[in-house]
Amino acid sequence: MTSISRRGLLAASTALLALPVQAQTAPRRGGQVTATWGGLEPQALFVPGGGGSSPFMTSTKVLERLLAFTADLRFEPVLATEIQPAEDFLQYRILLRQGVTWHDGRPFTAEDVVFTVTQLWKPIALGVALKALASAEADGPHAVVLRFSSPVPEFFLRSTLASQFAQVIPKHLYEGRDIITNPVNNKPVGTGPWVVKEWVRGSHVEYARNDKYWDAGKPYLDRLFIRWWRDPASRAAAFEAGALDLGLSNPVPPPEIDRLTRTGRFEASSDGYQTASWCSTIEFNQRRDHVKRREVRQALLHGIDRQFIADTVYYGRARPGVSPIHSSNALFFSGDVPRYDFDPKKAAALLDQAGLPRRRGGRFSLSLVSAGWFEENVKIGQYVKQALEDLDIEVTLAVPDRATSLKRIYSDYDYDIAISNYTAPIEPVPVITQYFTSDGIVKGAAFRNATGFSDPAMDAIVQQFAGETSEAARKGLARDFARLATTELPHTPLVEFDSFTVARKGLRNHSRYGNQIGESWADLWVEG
Amino acid sequence: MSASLVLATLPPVARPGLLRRFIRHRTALVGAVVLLLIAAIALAAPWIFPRNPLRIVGRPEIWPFLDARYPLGTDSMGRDIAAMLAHGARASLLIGLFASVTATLIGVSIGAAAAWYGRWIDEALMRVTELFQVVPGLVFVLSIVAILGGTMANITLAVGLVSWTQIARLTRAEVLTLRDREFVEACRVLGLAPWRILLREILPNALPPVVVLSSLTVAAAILYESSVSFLGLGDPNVASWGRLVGEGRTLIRTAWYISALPGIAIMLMVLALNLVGDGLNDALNPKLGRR
Repeated sequence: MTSISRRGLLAASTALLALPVQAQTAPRRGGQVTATWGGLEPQALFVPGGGGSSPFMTSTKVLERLLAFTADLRFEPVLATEIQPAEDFLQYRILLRQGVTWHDGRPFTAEDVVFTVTQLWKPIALGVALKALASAEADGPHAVVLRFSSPVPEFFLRSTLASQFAQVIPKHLYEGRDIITNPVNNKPVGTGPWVVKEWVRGSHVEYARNDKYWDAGKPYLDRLFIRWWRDPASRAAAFEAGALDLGLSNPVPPPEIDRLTRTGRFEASSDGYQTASWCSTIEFNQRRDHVKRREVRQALLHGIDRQFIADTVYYGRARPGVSPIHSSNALFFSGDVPRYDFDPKKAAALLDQAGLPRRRGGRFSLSLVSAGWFEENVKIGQYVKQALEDLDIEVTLAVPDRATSLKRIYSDYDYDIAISNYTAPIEPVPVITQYFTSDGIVKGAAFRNATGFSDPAMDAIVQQFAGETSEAARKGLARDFARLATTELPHTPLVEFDSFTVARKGLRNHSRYGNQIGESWADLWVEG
Repeated sequence: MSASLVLATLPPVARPGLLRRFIRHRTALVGAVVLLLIAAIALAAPWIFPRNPLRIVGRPEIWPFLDARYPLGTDSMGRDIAAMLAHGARASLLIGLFASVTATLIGVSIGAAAAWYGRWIDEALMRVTELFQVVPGLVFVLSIVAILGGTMANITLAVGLVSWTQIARLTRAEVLTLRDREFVEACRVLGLAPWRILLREILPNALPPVVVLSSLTVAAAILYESSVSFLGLGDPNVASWGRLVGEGRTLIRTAWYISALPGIAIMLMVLALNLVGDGLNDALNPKLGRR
């Protein structure tokens, strides 16, 4: 799906936004912006190798990556100016930007990148993606050579370099210290357009303009605040009170979007999330009776009205899920997969065929665990319970808090059916595929293969997919993967839901990248 | 002096005129009527709304008084708010009553034992009581529910576990004032077993203020359950007022009735319980009764 039609989903409220938000006039220097997101304060401003969206948002204003990925699916150079693959795709040469300095005045060189690759990415942050990495060496002060043990597709490598966990850290501040517990993480020093001025815990972090930023003239703003509110309704109030200019990742309750945009003072956009496409999933524990059978899983999916979930739970800002590779993925999505339309009669017939007839006390009983980190999951859990009860299945629903949900689903495997979520990047390996492969079964690792699904055919497809360097062949393998995944159904998206940004009118360039929350925002500016 | 004479000189627990004194208390009467009404709705809920109240029945967000089938409208999922309120009354009352009974049993046992046996037992039990008192109630309830899981039984137990301390202290104080009275001395002289004196002679006299506190504990328990459900940690298989308020709160600007209706229900119930508690207090206290 193109970005234009994605916008169409918000058409009524954002008709004015249908024009691409690009600098038709020259950006204005000066001003300040207060931003937030639909979540809470991070545990540290930079959490090496993860920590979720919140530290991703706060760290990327300071620490930059080698590449950026735009909303129209192009790679933009940031700290790298060029990525040159060898003919056999076993080696990549990365040319680095010259004349870049860290905030403390030290020059940025290839040594920093080699340190980051070998000490942060490979062991902590990007281990799965860089599984084939054999070595990283500096080639002069402004070039790095990565060598791999098996061919690595170019799109895959570029995606990895532009991904959420690929920040480049300064060697001189991290060498010889534990990267994860280094106190610098609370006041990161980077090459980015923003310098951390102050972090007031429980309230906000203030950034000052980096006057020596390598991209001369940027950032356009003088000051940037990232502030946190606990409650979606209070974010809406903060917008109206003028205390908030920009909110990413669903900052306000969905019905509030129309109310805010109708005032004419705000605009909403669903761009800026191309590489972070959210979905809510249903997962079937392969260790449990009944749901471990494929025909039962297929029957149950026929009994669930996904359009209802999209319309009612997400206020129409969602679509029924088709495949683990989301329909918004312009490069790898294929609709040519088995579908499970809502048809309770068919579901009942399939269950009868599977030897689970209607009888006193229900066909069978199961435990449904809905991860309590989103309010929508509570409602989905309640709806799925009702839908399965209509098929004469006894359902006990639990909606535990975040910590307990993670434990029950991903550590204890204590569920028959789970409702959870994931965000899908454009590149399906490894984020999406590890829900289905045998090597994705890691007890205690959140957002991996918790169902215990293991199928040699699936493992073979994914292995081939990860090492295939022809883009056309990769598309075919993505389709094969999606077909097998939607036939076996250990884990499948119920609905894909839109993320949206709410911004004060006059704020420009707030939805330009594939994962806007994690860009440096050097190009953000305010109309005079 | 015989044992029967001792008993005869006691002020009987259920004194004649108790009901009259309670009824004379106008606000208490109002409270009792409201409470009876809520109880009647709770009892009748399975007949008035035979379907599972959590069932999605109609279009989401129908406002109250617009559709005769859903007199109080539907919530954001299209569930009948009237049905959820009626069934929610059951859940609230059950949790309130059982939590109060749990708290009273624990509190009276510990308070009476501490006062009666005195010395190190008193010291130990009162330190344990203080230990429970210094933990903020809601935090304690949330911890227990988070660990044991959000089922009705666990919430009841958790609320009972945080509410008994006041009852224990009150019981202890009452028993202490009675312990050295002459009629108790007389029982001792007669050779009654200590546990018998405690159970048969002292506790009945110590109970009236405890009963009042227990009735107030019902109200507190309902508020605890609402808070737990409001925060999304309640039992998702049961219709609960608190959950309804919690789920409706994000819609407060566009569909305020979803959180307002159960909010009013909680307020009415808790207010009624407090009024009844006040009435009981006055009725059970002979000195105030003559006002």
